[in-house]
Amino acid sequence: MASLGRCVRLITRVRPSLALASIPRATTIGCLHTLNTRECTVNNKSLLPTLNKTCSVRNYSAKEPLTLDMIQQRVLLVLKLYDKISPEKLTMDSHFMQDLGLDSLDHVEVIMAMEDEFGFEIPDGDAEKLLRPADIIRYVADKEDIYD
Amino acid sequence: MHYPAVVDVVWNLQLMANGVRIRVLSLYRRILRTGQSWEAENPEETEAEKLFIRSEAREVFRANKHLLDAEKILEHLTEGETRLEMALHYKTPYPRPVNMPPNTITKAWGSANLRRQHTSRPVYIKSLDTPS
Repeated sequence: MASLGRCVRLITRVRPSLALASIPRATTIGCLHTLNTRECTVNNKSLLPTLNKTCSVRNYSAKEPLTLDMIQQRVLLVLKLYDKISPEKLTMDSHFMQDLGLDSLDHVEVIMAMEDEFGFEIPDGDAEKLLRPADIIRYVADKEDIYD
Repeated sequence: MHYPAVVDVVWNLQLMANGVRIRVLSLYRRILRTGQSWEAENPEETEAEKLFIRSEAREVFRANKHLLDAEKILEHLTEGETRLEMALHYKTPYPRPVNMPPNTITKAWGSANLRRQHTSRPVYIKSLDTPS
């Protein structure tokens, strides 16, 4: 128990990924390092008064949690990066063909960029109905089951 | 009373146009997807060939997008599909040109053969023959 305490106190000075090997999995600390940091309650408060309350959680193979807001930001970012769209004219409801002056070949390229961004195939039948950024956002939210 | 016939023809043309349009757009998509995951025979040229596939597709499709005649559109569509199949089979995106030196077919061969020179070019180099 004392050695465990000593091991664990090392976390505050040593990078957690290095300390991983020395921490047995059964500890309630169980917080692994990287991507997302969020508030988490550390159960052994009495043992570790010096530990920081926020810890990181590693997602092994899950996607990032999507919200409608994030989808909107990603869609608009991809559209702004496309060289045939001028960022000033781009709004949520701007029609690709009528407002932004794209043709159907450009539309194919835009839909392909969306497929690459979100990682799933959009069939041709659905793709030809996605003519505004708002439609794309709604479609992606439907496919990913997000109801914010 | 020939109005219904005209309406039928127009409706058929629109339906056919929609079908052709779908084929053209899906061919464009397939070519771009092939370009994204392309691996060249010589690994150093992968990037150059990917860029070639993408730029060639963009240019040729946009150069011909104004066409309205169904036959010509189908010819170009055949050309695109053939070039894609050949690129995948021979593992090279560059089209295979056909060269016949001028005056190979002389007047002695007859006017029919002279005329056939122009029509016997394969369809998959149609875009190379008509630079626009």
